Amino acid sequence: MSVIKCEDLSFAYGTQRVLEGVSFHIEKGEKIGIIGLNGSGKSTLLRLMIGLLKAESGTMHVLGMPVQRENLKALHRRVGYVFQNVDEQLFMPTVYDDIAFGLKGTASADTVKESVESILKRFHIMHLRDKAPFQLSGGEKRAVAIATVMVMAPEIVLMDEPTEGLDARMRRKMTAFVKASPETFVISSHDSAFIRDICHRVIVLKTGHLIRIDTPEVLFNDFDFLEANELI
Amino acid sequence: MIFKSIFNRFRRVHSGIRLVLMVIWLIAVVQTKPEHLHYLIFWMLLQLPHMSVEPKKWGRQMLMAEPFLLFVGLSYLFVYRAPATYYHLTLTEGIWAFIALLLRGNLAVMGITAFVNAISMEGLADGMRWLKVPETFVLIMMQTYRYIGLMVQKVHQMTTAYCLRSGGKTGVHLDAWGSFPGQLLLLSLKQAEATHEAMMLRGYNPAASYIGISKIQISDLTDAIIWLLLFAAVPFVL
Ligand SMILES: Nc1ncnc2c1ncn2[C@@H]1O[C@H](COP(=O)(O)OP(=O)(O)OP(=O)(O)O)[C@@H](O)[C@H]1O
Ligand SMILES: [Mg+2]
Repeated sequence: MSVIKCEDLSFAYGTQRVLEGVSFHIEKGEKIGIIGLNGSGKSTLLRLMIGLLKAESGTMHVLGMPVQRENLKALHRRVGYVFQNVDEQLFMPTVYDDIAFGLKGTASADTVKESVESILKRFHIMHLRDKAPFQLSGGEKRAVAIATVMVMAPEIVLMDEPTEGLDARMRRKMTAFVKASPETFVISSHDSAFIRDICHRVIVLKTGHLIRIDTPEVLFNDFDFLEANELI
Repeated sequence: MIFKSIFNRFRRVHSGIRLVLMVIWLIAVVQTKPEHLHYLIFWMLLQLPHMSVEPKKWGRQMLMAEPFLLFVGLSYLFVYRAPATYYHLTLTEGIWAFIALLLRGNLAVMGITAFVNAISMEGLADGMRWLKVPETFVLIMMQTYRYIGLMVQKVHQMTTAYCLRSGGKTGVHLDAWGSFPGQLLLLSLKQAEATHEAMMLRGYNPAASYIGISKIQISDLTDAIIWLLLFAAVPFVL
């Protein structure tokens, strides 16, 4: 069953064409990587999936719903999004409050506390519980940002550059975490080793066009293609 | 000793109540007429218990308002030239208006800095929530405020980057200054927008409460009433 269906999608910021005629399907439980040069439209594509941007033409369906205003509330409950810039994602006074934010009003205070503490343990960030998010190190912020999204048990997780700024240990943890999660993941990244490790298929964007979609085994061994598109 | 205990007592007053007191105080200060300027001195004394920062820091913050006050005030000097007499002293209307503006302006700034310094941003948020300011607004304001710290860093980075590239000359050339504030404004707008998006994406529900609101104690009310009585007594006593 396809959980994300994108058909002939185009988008422009003002007069600048950023995506053009992009089509693909993503199946439930798949881990999909998006790679491409800086400015190729990876972040834009993710933002279109969650409705932060509106397509100019073409359609985007997520979990069977067209990504449109009236579905956004339902979509945001079921789809998580980790920002490329973590400073934009965290906004509450403490790490605990930030992680609890999405759960407030949906569950009792005790349940919220339980869920938050279990996610803090799972991400090994219990010691950051009462710190202010903006005082954390880059990698710590990243871990907290992912926790704020995962605590809501999303069916689909969109992540923009999740390994940026992580040390080897954190990166290994992240790899293990994504691999072990049953959810559908769509991950934009410049970290080809990471993408190769965790993804079932990889989408390649080039100046707004989807030029290839393939398994990492095939793609990352096609040196002619990688070289021709400056991906290595 | 006794002063210290008064100070500490006032610093514990509920931030919502203090916010109300500050607004009353500001309105009174700003509306003071030139013939009542001496009230300001006594009102200033009443503001003292609310202060908690060392005078140096406080003075520096007030200095930032000075160019603006002077700029507005100087224009009065040229516009209003008719003679006016207050406190048995005959000057022009413009000079009196200038003096009044400086006094009132500085006092207003003083009140705000004292208030902001004495209660934390969290306290202010608490006070605003108590006054039923919409939570969305309070959350975004807090985030943007925190971002100011990042903005200051950004300015530092921008100036450092500039200086490194300008061959060791210190300071930023005047030409470059024009675009700096604009950049910062755009950055903070972008931050406010991003925060709003981040909230929406995590299913922000305006009906749920995210920031706790602290309760008011009887002592908060009595302290506030005493302060208000002292404040209101000034025009009668003088
Ligand atoms: N808010 C915006 N307004 C105008 N143009 C934008 C905006 N955001 C992105 N762009 C432009 O759209 C293009 C695609 O940007 P996008 O962020 O999707 O790239 P990306 O593939 O994620 O790049 P990176 O690898 O550097 O993160 C870029 O050329 C960028 O300059
Ligand atoms: Mg990007």
